[in-house]
Amino acid sequence: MTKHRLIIGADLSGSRPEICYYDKTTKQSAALPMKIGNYNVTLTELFEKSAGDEESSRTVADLFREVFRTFGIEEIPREIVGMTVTFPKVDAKMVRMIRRAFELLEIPRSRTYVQDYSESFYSYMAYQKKELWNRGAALFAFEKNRVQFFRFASGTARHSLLIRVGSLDPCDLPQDPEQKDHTFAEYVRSSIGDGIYSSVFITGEGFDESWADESKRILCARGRRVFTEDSVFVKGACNAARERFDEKKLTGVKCLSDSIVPYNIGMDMIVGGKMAYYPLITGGSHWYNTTCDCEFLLGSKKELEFQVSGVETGGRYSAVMKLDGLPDRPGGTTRLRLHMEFTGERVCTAEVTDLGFGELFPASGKTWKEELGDVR
Amino acid sequence: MSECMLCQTRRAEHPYLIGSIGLRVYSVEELLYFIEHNIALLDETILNGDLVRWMKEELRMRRLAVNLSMVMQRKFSVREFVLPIFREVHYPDDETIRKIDEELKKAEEQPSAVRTKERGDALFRYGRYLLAIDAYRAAMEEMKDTGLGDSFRGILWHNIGCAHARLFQLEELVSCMEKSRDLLQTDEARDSWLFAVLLRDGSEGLAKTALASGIDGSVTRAVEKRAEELGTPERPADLEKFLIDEVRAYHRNTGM
Repeated sequence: MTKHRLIIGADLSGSRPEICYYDKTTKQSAALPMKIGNYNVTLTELFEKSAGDEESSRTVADLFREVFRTFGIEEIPREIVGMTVTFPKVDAKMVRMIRRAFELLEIPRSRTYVQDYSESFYSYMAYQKKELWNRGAALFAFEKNRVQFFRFASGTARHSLLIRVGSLDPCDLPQDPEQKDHTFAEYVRSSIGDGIYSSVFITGEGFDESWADESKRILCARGRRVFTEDSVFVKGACNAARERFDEKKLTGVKCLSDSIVPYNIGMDMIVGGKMAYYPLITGGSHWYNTTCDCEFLLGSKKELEFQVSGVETGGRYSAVMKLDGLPDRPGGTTRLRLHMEFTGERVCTAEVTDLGFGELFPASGKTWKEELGDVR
Repeated sequence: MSECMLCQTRRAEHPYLIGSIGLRVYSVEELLYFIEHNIALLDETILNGDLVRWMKEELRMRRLAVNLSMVMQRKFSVREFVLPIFREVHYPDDETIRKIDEELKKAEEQPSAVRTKERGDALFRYGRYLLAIDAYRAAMEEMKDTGLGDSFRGILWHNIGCAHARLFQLEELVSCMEKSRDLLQTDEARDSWLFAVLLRDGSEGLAKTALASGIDGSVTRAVEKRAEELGTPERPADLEKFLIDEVRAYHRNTGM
């Protein structure tokens, strides 16, 4: 029996989950709705029935197992080279759930990834010809009577190609065709206005040229090229998997999206006997995937100084965290545990615990928490 | 150490016990801090194969453990054993490590009786009075073939007496202070002996002893005045806990 070597992208959102595969052996790819046998899958129903992360994880794992069986995949860990799952928005709970589903499928974590729609749009565009994005690209994603705008902008930062992707809040469209056209036109005006874009894409179900006279005029203004394209996000997720686990065509390109941490956080401290900048949080990864844990000995001051620098700008500033109430001890005899994680897209929380110094200077057990705030 | 320092080794799940003072250390930095402040206590009861095994298994410092094992294959000095640990960890800082190195060199150059006496002093500070007495007596044996004379011996007897005092062993206290007085022949040594007699026999006993020794009443009055000036200790808030802790410390010290 032929063994496949597939790279998979999956869009698990809403009422029309999709899957896109790229076969490394045959170099063929396709995007299609997720089906079990001849039945389309509706994830909204499945998630509503599930209670808690473990049940949701099992549901998703079972779903994938059945879908892969439809493809003729028998040995999932061997035949799936890499996989990316995409959602409109991702949070830490969702990441945990999907990771657990991958564990149940026995696909190693190193071969899986989760990303949001903005990043999937980036992965989709980055694999298109440069002329379609070199002056920016726009996407209007429809789901029935709701539309959301996504932007892809290219630039350079410190000799690297920097891509910034973002989105606006979605817009609900009225049922009446004339009002729908006008509302969508206003939304287009507010999102791309008279801007120059190499391309504008429309994807999803809900757009029809028959009601979009005013909208089309605005979309096509300034000579913009407008394309309708199915399944942009799931294709983008599949491209992301190809990039991550196989082709690596985008080495040196940095992508910044709303979910990507746009700054580095570190501390100047003694490492291996020498004063050095020690990175705690490195920008460029997703906020929901970004944590830091370390232990260090406090110097003579009862405070910590974090160095925050922007990935894009390189500008640097200090954030001081005071450790009020820490017992008096000689310098170098207070061991502190530092845990950092993001509680939101722009908010990094630092939690410090006093571990004392063994029996020489017993731990007070005190903890301090500080939000490093909305840093840009 | 003015700046923060990253901990690059883990803390141990099972501590290393420094038996002479009953201290458990959980990290290499704690070990080095102890070494820095207790050079006099460093001997084969601490710097040995058990320590090397602990560093290898608990702290995962395998390369250092291999190096120390090689040092232990021959006769080695304290300096040869501890300096590689300091240099591996860079704690507390390079400047302090240089000073510790100097101290270790000076200690190596001292007569062994002096090193042993200092070990006794360190044990005394940690409240290990019986071990301190053993160290002082060992120092007395070691000084036999050295140039250290009566004044050194007198100091040793004085310190042994102080250790007995902490163990409420007043007969031994008086005996030691008497020997110290005879060797040192100073007013301070005489007064220490008289103070010991006061503790054991009270004011009447002190007066009788002074008379028998031909000591002027003004001297004994001065000793009694100093005793009064010490005042009465405050009664602990939790007397029962205090007594239990003191009894435990006593048993720990005497092995009884």
